Amino acid sequence: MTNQIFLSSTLEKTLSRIGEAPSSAAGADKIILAHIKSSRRDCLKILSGFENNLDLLEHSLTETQNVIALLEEAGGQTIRARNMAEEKDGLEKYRDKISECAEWYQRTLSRLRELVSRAGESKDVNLLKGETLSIRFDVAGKSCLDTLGLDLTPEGLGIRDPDFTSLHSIQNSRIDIANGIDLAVTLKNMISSDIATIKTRREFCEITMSYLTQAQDHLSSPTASASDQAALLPLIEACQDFNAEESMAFETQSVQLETLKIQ
Amino acid sequence: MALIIDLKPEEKILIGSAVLTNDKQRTRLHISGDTPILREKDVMQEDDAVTPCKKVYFLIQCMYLARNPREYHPKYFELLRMIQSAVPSTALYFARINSNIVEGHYYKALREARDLISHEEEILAASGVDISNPQ
Repeated sequence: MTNQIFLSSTLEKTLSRIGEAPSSAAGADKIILAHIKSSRRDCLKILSGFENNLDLLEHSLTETQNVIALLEEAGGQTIRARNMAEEKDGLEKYRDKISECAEWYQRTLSRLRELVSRAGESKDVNLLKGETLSIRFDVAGKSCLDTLGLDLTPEGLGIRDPDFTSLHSIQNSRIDIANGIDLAVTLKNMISSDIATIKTRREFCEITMSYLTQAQDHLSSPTASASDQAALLPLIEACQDFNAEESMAFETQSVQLETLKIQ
Repeated sequence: MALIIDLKPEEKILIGSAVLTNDKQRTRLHISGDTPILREKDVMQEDDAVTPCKKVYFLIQCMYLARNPREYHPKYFELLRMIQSAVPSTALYFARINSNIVEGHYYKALREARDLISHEEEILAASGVDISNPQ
C-alpha cells in the first residue's frame, strides 16, 4: 500500500476516539480501512431492513386505501338510506330498500373486518390492527422511525351496529363512517410520509455504500499513490468552480442563514 | 429529555424556521421536540465556505434546515466524490458523517464535519497554503 495519508492531530484524535490510536500514517491507513469495511457492513444491514420494511409499508398503504374504499361504500349506503328516510313517510314507503341498505352496510363491515385481518397475514406487523412498525436507522437500533398503526376494524373505529329504523340512527351510522374515514386517512398519510422518509434515507444509504466501496478499493489498492497533501491543492482549485455561478443553498435556507448573520 | 441551551446576551439561535435573538441578559432555554437548532456560533455563511470541506459543512447545514434535505444530496455527493477521491483519509469522516445523516442526526454530522475541516486545515498548513487565499 503506497497511500500517503496525512496523519493530522485531528485525524489522530478521531481515530483514538473510535478505539485505535495509530503510531504512523501507514497504521492510520489500516485503521481507516477497517472502519470503512465495518461501516459498509452496517450500511448493508440497514439497507436490507429498509427493503423489508418498505415492502410492509407499501402493502399497508394499499390495504389502508382499500379500507377507505370500503368505508366509502358503507357511507354510500347510509346516504342512500338517509335520502329515502328523509322523504315524507319514507321509512314506511321504502322499508325494503332501506333494509337492503342496512344489509349491504353490514356486509361491508364484515368485509372490512376480513380485510384488516388479512392485511397482517404473512407479515410481522399489522399496522391496520394498531400495531407499531419500528424501522432502524442504525445497527444498534438507537435511532428508529416508529410507524404507529391504527385499529381499522369496525370495532376499533367505533362504528356501531347498523340501525336503519329511524332517520336519527341512520345519521349516526353516517357519522360513524365519516369518523372512520378520517382515521383511515390519517393512517394513510402517516404511512405515506414514512415511506417518503425511508425512500430518501435508502437512496442516501445506497449512494453512501457506493462511496464506501470506492474508498475501500482505493485504500486497499497496492497501486494507489495519491498523497493527501499533494491532492488537496488541485482539489481546492477545482472546488472554486463548484458554486461559482450559483449559490449552494436554496432560497429558503439562504433566507434563514441570512437572518443569523452577525450584525 | 429537553435540550438545555445557555444564550449569551444578544446571541441569536435558530429553532425550526424561527430565529430568536436574546435580550441583554443571559438566558437558559429548555427545548423539547425534534426540530433543527443552530446557534449563531455554529452557523457557516456561504461566503465563508471557501474550502472543499467548509462547503461540505455548509451543505450539511442546509440539509439540516431544509424541509426536504434530498434536494441537497446531489451537490453533497458531488463534493464528497471530489474530496474523497483526492484525499483518501477523508473517507473516515464521510463514513461517520453519512451514518449520522442516515440516522437523521444532522447536529452530530455537523460536529464530524468540523473535525473534517480541522483535518483539512492541518493538511493545508503543512502544505504552506494560506486558507484565506488558497490560490
